[in-house]
Amino acid sequence: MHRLNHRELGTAIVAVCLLLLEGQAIGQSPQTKLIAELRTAPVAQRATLVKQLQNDPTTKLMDLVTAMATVDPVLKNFYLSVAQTVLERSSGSTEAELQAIVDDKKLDAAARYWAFSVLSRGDAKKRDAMLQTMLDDPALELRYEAVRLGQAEVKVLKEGGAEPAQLTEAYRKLLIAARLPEQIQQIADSLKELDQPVDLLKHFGFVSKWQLIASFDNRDRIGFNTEYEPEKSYIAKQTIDANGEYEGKATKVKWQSFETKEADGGVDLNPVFKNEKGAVAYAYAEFIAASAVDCEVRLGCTNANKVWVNGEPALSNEVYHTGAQIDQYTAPVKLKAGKNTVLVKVCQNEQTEQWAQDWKFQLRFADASGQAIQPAE
Amino acid sequence: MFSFAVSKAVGIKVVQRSLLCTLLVAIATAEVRADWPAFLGPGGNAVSIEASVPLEFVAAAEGKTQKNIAWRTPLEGRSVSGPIVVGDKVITTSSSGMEGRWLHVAAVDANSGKVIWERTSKATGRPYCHPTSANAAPTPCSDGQRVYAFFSSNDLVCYDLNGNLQWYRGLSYDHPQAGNDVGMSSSPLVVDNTVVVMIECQADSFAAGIDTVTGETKWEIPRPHKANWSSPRLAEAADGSKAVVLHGLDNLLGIDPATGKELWKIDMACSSVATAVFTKGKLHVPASGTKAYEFATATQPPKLLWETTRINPSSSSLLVTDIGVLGLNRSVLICCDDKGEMKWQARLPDAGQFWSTPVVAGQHLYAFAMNGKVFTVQLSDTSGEVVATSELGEDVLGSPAIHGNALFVRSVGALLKLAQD
Repeated sequence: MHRLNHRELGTAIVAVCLLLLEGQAIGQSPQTKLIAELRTAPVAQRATLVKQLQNDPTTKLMDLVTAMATVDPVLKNFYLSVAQTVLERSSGSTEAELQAIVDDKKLDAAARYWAFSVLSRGDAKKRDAMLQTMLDDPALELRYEAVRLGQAEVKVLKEGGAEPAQLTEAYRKLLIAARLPEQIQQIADSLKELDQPVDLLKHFGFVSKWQLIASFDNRDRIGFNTEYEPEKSYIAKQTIDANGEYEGKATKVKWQSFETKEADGGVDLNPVFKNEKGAVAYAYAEFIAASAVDCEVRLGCTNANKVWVNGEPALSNEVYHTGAQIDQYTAPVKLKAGKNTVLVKVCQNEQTEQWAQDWKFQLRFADASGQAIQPAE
Repeated sequence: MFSFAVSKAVGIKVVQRSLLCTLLVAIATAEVRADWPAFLGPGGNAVSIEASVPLEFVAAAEGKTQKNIAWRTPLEGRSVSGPIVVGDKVITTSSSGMEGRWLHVAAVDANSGKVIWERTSKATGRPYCHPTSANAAPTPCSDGQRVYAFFSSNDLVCYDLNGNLQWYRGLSYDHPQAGNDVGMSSSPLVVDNTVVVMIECQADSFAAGIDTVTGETKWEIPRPHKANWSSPRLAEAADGSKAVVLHGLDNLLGIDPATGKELWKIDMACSSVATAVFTKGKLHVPASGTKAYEFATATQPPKLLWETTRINPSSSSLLVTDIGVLGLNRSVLICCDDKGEMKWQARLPDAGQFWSTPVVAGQHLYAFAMNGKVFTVQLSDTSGEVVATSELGEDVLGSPAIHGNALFVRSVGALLKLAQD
């Protein structure tokens, strides 16, 4: 048996002290250290770390949930999955801990929604009771469920013969809460049935007044990456020359004014540019913001598209005819107080199928929750 | 002594005969419980000749007594994927919540229908799809040790068979432009230690091989910029060489599953929905009709044997049986011989639309229409006769699995076991 000499013994004592001190200084238990390590681990090491976390009986639900707030969506799923394993092997009741997660609005929205789902699974009464206070919840998915419940409750009221005024009031409340376009449209439809139409164009904050110019060549899809004159000019000056005349696909083309009155803010280019195929159109608008704001530009478009805001590229999607919906594409942008400019490039291809004829878009600015940024009066 | 010896000998013979009889009876009635580990089952041809499944099923409803439905387990969310079976666990996926962003993988006991474990994650890519579809559209797969669940949002998650997370990949995170808003549906394929996924779309189109143990990307190859919902297939030649076959609108491509390296390419426009079938050294490819190839070795292009326009499947993949090659042209079942000549056709009346691929159990084909109608077709050399039509009363879009003498069917809201009462 090897006996440590004085020097070796001294080194060992120092090493142990350093280890202890490190642990104390950082204030981390082994499992919180693992949680932290997972945050920065490369893909190859994540499997090993997650296994250690799952096997560690001291891993705590709240530590995992807390960690979710500051990591990317992929890593969130690692913590979330370990949380499910931890929950499954818990011997005692976890209801209070899960309820605390739901109640703490500072925690990660996905973690809160998950805790809500676990708590309310198979118990509709409990689920409904929890949702009663969530119409303005910062977690959009909880708010979505609360609005959905609200819609069901108003439907019951309606079937029970409630007065139109009561129904209108209930729907108006839901309209204020709703963020998902689909729910907003459903509520607006319900209000319309009560002779209380909603100005959806305004509610969504769609940009309605545009300058349009077309057609530039997009045969064989050459237009998407071709900088035509209006695009070059806009990127250089962050505005357009409203009187400019450019060489188009077949003839010289000029900007023309267009205003959409459609509830969904749709700018339909087909009637304006005679259903041209293999063509690029540009749309330009000015947006007056009441104050500087970080927000999102949100585009719905079934054609290949690009968007610039204040001269900066925001969106680029070379996809044709695979569906369109409000807020289909989003990107963070900064609006400045006063005048902002936006240029949209909408490319139509040459598909001949009946379902591939649309050439249109809609655009708005909204906060991250989906609430419209309205232009200054 | 003699008499005892004689009686002993007779006794032994009686016992032997009795044992033999018991054994024969046991063999005759035994369920072959092979795993159904992926889309279209083991070997990628949704046929189980050994299985014996009832012809007719009746869902419990007012005035109706349930028949041949062993259990029905409602599950979270919506699903258009098919179930797989690993051991006694039926694995199924679904998606729920706002925009179908919540992803679920559940393991259900094949005998009791009880949920053994269920795991939830949140989509990291675009969850949008046509209302008919769901984020949970691809069928998961397993190598017997782990489960690989893939979603339209390009989330690929791996659990062990006890539901412990192994790894998670958000492939849209590296490829934000991959996918389309109609919804993706290509099912993953596991070959040795690689999970192969096809993410073919107009924008960022690619296929990838992911390490089964770590979740690392082993290889990526660009694919045509065209929407494609078909799934990768494994073709294994008699010499043991393997190719993964990707079929797209521009070509049929054979790649090495370990490296993604191109082994061969045939320029042709394959179906973008129905998937090729490989069995017994032959590859049958839906491509404006059906093309049959001889697949001698993985490194050489397969040789065209015949082609026909008679079988032109729209959504369902092909099936290859001893009777012939079967395909569903909308609601007409076509059977061709091994030279592509039509043997017979059978109309499946009032079927509506089919999204799932039928399965063959024994001498019967089971076709599940989207509206929940089940057509049981008796197959023979000369005809396909609809011998029963059942109504499940719920939509079915995913392809069923066969395990033992049961069909496991994923409806949009539940998992069902169809087996003899």
